[in-house]
Amino acid sequence: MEIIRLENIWKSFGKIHALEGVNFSLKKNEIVGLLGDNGAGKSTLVKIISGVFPHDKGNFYLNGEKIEKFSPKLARQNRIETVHQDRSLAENQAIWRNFFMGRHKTNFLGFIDKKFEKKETLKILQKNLGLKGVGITPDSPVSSLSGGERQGLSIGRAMYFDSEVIILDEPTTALAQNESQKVISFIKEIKNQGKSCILITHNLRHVFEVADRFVIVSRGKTDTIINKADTDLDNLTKILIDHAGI
Amino acid sequence: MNFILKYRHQLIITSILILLLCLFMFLSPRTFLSSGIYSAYMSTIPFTAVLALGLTLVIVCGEMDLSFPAVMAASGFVFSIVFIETGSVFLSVAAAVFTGGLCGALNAFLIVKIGVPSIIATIGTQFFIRGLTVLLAQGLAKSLIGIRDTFGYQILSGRIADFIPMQFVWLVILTIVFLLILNSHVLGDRIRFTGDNANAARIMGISVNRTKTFVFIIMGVCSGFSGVLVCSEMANWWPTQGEGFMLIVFASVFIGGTSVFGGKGTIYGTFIGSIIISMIEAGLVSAGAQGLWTRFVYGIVIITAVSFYAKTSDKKIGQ
Amino acid sequence: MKKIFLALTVFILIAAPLYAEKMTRTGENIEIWFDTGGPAGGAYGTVVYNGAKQAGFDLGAKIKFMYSDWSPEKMIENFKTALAANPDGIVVMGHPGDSAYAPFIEEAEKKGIIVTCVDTPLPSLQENYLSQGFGYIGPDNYNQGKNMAKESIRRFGLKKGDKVFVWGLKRLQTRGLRAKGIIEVLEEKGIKVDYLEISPEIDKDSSLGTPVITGYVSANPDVKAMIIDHGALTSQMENFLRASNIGPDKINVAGFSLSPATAEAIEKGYVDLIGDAQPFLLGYLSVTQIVLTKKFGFSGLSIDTGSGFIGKSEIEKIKPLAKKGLR
Repeated sequence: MEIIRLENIWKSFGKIHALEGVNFSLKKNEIVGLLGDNGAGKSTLVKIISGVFPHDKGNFYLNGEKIEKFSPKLARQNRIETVHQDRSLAENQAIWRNFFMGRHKTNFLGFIDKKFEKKETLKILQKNLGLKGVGITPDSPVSSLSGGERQGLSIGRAMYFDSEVIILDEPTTALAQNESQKVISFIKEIKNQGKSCILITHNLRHVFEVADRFVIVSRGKTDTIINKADTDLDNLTKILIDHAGI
Repeated sequence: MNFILKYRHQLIITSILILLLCLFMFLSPRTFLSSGIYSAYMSTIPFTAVLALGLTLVIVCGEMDLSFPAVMAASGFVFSIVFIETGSVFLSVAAAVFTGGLCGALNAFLIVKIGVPSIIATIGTQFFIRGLTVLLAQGLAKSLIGIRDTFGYQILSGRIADFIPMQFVWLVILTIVFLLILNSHVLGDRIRFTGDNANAARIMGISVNRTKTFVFIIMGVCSGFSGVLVCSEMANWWPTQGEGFMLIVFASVFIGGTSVFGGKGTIYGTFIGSIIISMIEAGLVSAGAQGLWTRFVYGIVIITAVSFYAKTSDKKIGQ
Repeated sequence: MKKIFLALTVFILIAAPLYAEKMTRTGENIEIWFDTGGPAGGAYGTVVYNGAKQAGFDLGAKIKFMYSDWSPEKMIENFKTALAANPDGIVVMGHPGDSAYAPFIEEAEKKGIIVTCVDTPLPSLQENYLSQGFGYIGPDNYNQGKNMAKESIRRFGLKKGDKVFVWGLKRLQTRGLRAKGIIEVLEEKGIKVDYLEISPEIDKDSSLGTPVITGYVSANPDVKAMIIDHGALTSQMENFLRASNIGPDKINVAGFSLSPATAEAIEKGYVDLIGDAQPFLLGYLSVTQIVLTKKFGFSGLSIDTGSGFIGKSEIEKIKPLAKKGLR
């Protein structure tokens, strides 16, 4: 089953054509790597899926239904969640607050059920991040987590709230090797949980480890789609260099 | 140990208060070991403390408000003319608080809708609101003779058991409400995130604009209420109302431990901070120090407190 | 016999002084809280402070000083603090007015604290507590204003149709009577009065006044005289006029309160006439009032200190005293 289907999507900003007849699809429980040079249109494509921009021309299907009006709020309601490197968490706030940000469990007066939320957060910390008694509690600020752990927290949060599609925007770009490995294992967990993921990255080794399919975006088009089974890392690298060279 | 770590800011400020109190008791036992001075304190602290509570929310939200002395004066003016016309304290309070909220809405409009940075916008509204008020009042003060005979006066400024002024009771109630909101309510959560990382807040579905609007209107309401308390206690309104308050209110917030960067704040700290700042001047005078020392001591207390906070902030502890 | 007589004489001469009433200073063991009105370090308030301090020394009384930035709310706050300390007496200024002060002064009187007033009167409270030592030391604002106008007309030769700039504090209840008096007398004589209210910022910090004077003078080069109803601003007139590029003796300037700067300005010709409320007396006599009432039960005294006028001819004598902050 296809969760997302984009047919012949066009998007322009003034005179600049960001997307020129793009075709894209995402199946259930699939990880797709979105590759391509800077300015190729990856970011625009993903922003249409997450409701930030409306498309100019073409068809956008979500779970088989055609989408006419969309927004970030509607995207989240349809269980599409985007995780950004630096814009998903507030560093100075406690982990439990970040986890339930915008989705608090409240009573009728609006007061937060802190006990419940802290308990749930602790579970996630121990289960997903494997932090057992390292001095980090639900009350600790996010700044006390490492880069990889923060990504893990964001991904864990998306899954906790039952997202179907998790979009990861450059999740390992600013991380050290060991931290990146943590993130990779979190991404693999997404697949294990039966969810889907769109992964934007420049790091071919990382994407090759986790993705099922690779979509190369080049100059506003997505002509090249390769299944992992049909290629290897060297081959993929060559194809990308070719695209950049044209 | 965890308790001390978690509440270290609150413990620091409380210790400073106790230290100062002991110092003053030692220097002027006659004044500080009898009840009179505490009743006097409780009658004046709420004027600046109520403002400081509202300002704390504004600062945690990542914004600034310099217009509150003028909003106070405007609300006090409305309180006075409504009372002189109708004789009803209740109506006057409602009108004054509404005026405050309206001024807050003006600030919110300029900052949220038009996009003027809050420091600049509120400097502008400060002059505008104060100027308009003084103009309407023709520069003359208003006497509220008769207010002391009303029941409303008893609710606003009466003395319980001849000792506790009602304005202090109102302050305590407000402190508790704001404490609960900032720490345990969704509104407080939204305020924190807006101040900490507005972009993240937006992505997670928090309406940053609505949160900021809310916070400025609340500040306006607090300013209005403070104006009401002052007018009631003094049974008078002067066009200069609120003028000397600016720096005192800011000092109260910052020595209480709220971070100027936004995202973090402590209502309890602001409450204690207000008490400390208000205590200093009277304590010095009672001890026989020349009035010239007051500002100097303010400075020492402020520098000490904020240095402590900077040294013990989360980042330094390495959490 | 002679020996006994001699011994008795010696004994009386020695013993008598020991048994005679020892003279003590009237104010010993008396504590007074004094609100000097302005900001700490302000020109006018410092002279008041010096007067009070001197009286404290002369009488042996202890004085505690408070400052209130000319803010009525602060004055009431200070009064409450003083009240809590339960002193023998409190000296206040009347800016907040009778109704604002009433409950607090009432409480003080109930506790047996002597309250007296300087600088700006509190007529109704004074009437109520006259017998308890509530007096008034200071200028009669209204009369002082009228006299200043009359004196200005006389010394400056002002005629009907002339333009005069008046910078005052009409908005304050009693204090504003001085400006009122000035304007009334001038207008009665057909003189055109340009009145400007002193803003609260400038009231507290006179260094902000330059643009006002510069602006007014450049727009009104035909102004014959400027009357400044404010002590600190008067002392700054030389600076203001210099900044406006106006030489001494170009415009007639009258003002209030002496200070070292004002004395200089009079000598140089930038200021021509001063109405002096003699603030030293405010401090000195009010402290004396409280001490005398405490010791001997005397009633409140009303002393009008506002009749001093100082011009170029009088300044020689007064200048050295102004330098010391005594006038």
